[in-house]
Amino acid sequence: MNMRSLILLSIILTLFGCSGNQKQELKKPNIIYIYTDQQSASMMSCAGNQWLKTPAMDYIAENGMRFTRAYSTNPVCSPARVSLMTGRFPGYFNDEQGHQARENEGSQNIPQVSEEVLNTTIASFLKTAGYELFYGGKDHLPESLRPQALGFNDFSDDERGELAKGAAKIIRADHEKPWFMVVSLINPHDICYMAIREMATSESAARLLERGKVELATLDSAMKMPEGVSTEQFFLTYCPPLPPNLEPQFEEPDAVKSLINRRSFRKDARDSFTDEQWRLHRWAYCRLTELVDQRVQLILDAVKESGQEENTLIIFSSDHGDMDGSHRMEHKTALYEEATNIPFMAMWKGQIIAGQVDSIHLVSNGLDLLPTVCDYAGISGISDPRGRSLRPLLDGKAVNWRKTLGVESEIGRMVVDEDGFKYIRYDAVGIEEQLLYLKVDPYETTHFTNNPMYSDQLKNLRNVYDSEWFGY
Amino acid sequence: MIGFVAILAVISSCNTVNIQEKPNILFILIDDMGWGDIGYNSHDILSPNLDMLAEEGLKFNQHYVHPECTPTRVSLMTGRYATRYGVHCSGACNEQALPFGTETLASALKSVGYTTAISGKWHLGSLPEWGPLKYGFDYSYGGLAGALGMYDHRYRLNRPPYTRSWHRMDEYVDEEGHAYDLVTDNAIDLLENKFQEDKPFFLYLPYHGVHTPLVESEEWLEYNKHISNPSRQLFGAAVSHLDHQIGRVIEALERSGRRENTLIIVSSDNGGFPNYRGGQYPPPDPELTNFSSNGPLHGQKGQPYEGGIRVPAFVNWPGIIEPGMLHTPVHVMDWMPTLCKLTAYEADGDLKWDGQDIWPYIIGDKSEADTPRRFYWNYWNIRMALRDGDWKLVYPKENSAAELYNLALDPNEKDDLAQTEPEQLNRLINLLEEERALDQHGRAPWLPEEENN
Repeated sequence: MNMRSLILLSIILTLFGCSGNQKQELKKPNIIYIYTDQQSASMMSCAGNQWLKTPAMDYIAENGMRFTRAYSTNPVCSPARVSLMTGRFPGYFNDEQGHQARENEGSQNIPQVSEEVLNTTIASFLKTAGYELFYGGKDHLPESLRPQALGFNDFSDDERGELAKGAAKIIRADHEKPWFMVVSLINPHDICYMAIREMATSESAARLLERGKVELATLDSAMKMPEGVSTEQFFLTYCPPLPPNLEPQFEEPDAVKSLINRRSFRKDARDSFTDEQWRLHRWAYCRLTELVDQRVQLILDAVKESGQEENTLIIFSSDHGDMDGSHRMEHKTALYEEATNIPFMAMWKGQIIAGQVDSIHLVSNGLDLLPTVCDYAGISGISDPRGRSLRPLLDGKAVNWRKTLGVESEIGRMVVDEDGFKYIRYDAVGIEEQLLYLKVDPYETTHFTNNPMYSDQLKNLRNVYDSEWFGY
Repeated sequence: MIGFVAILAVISSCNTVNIQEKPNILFILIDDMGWGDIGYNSHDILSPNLDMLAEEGLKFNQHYVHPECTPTRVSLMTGRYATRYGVHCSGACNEQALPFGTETLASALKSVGYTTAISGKWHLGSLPEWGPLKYGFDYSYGGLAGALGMYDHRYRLNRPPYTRSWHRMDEYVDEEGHAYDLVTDNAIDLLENKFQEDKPFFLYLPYHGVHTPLVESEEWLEYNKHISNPSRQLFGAAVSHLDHQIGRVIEALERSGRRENTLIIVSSDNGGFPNYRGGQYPPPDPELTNFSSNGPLHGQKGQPYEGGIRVPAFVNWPGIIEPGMLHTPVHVMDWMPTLCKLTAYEADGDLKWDGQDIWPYIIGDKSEADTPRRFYWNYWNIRMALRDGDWKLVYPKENSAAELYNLALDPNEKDDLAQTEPEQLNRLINLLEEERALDQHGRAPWLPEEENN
């Protein structure tokens, strides 16, 4: 080998970074998990939504990778957060009555969890990896899984601006150890209060309103029309249109009907919201998402201004979405895409390929966050073995990925596959099966359960549901 | 005499039994076939299969449609005037015609146990995301947009995002063959392999023919060599070709053993369009002159004169429907209420049908047949018409004066009575405004804002 080719070889080695042990040489990154509440995957301008502007979220997408097929483990606040801490489905746990903790109350009342669970939480793994732990904002968790109980430094009870400022302070401070921080921001969750307030007929709704002064004030300002614009002009050019799937799904399952009928404000919203009210809901949901985007900006600014972008892994996601008028529903819990499909993005300057959109791989924020951050922290973290580290995908490697993904809910459970078929087994009002096909019917207006063309897919997913996801 | 009454009783009880069993429904919609473009109304067109079906069935002397493709399909699928969904539906349209969740003829029949299928031209939203599977069909196949090339199946030479149009199950596919043949092969496959024997079927067969472009083989040109006008000869070849394919569907239906419990309905979607400039598709796409005929009727496709809206149509169900001719005026929007009644579908709430059940007319129950009907046409809020009984009001073009005709005396709209019958004129003008008030005004809420060009 002559001198010239030696030089060439060393250039190539440098360019492609193939010195075998480079990974070990990397300093462990600080990791920030920004976790919004009730934000559907479509609620970002980088996701193509033209009715809102989310420059902070867009910045993460432009400088990192955005997954379009990411799902919640269970599209309600408390169950989803049980997954955040444990990397397991909420249905893994039983509530005090011995029922699977698949809904809000049950998962907040999960009794003391086992040693096995405690030894495999995200906190337990990251402590082993030498990380300092911070948690700020909404937790909504059962006692034994609350941040403090798991060893987080619980730095803020505020869920809004003060939380973001507190997080920024921690980011700018000097740390001896690498750190992991969860910033659990409440919005756009305040959208919940629109139907609760406008349709408040029950006592429980009245109690919610009594407690929700800040929420209502935030909602009020989100619902304001822009100044100097007439109502007519507002609905003509400013306000988002009705969703394409405004009407209930063809042969809507009884489980969905029962979900709506169970809380009077949901039923009243379905029955009596006018087109203008639904559109106003969509307007306010956009404004509340912009509000949380401003908080996210404070965090990003702190990372950038303190010169830590190349040493910080930022992951962004949400616990679940909001129906936002689709199928004449608001709130969550349903297994439709609006509620289950959530944003998931990761950026780390210089490490994660920038500006990539992954619309192929199925991601579960509840199952995959734990193994992913452990991977970046230099250890192997496994709780539910179906959780996968996303690092190979973020590194742009070809990997053999999961073909299906399970999602559970109070009213049933589902398995979605990489081709866009979605098998749901509702169990709230007897067993009801549905096969949806997102590629052909992305708005879930109908179902293909009895269609002989798709009987193979139905059989296959029914089998996968039992054998790989929800056999327990 | 007693024997005769007994036979009648048996026949009518048979009818009841068959109807309760829920008949199969085959709806064939032909594209752009004018009044004078079917064998039995013409001196030069050869359509033996259609003629035979019509001859053993009940022909409609006054079967109305809208003057263009999309609105007729909207009315067929919903039982309502197309403009009830917005002016975008009033003429050929590539946008999403109907909102998701609309109860259509297909979803209604599906809900009472039918397997539902479309093979052919959809034209109620020219992208797969608005395809037939989202509107109650179990099987879908054919072209999404209106006017496709016969062999490349593209919408004109290049008209993004609608250029690609051929699909199976609302997913684009590329296939080789003439559009009439592919649609027919698929229909036969449905009849032979897909439809379950224990379930009734609704097969909707909206052919892409005989809309331009016309591309026909030597065989069918030769079959029509008696026609001297080359444009008309090419058109005649297309009709004969289409007729032959319809014959193949009927044969397959007979082979399946389900013929006698199948109601067949045939109609054109609008009147003929006699002249075509060509050059909009891959060659051969010649200019055509006087190729299509609306017979003695005045006007053509796109106009609310009789030539644009009164089309060849008939029903066929041997043993149930007596052969003959029904003179009572009917409208394509009547099929949804009629077929829903026939199949014991009950709507969940008011579907606000403009059409009505015409089954009593079809089976010869005269008691209701003489109630005068009222019909309304609206094409882009420019050309409009209203028929009330025998009187018809026409606004033939933008800002034109109203014309008035008495169709009983003047079916071909030759004598404008607007000057001599001011009372009738004003009465119909008011009725037209009443109908217009029921339309969806402004841009339909499920459509994106219109681009400012």
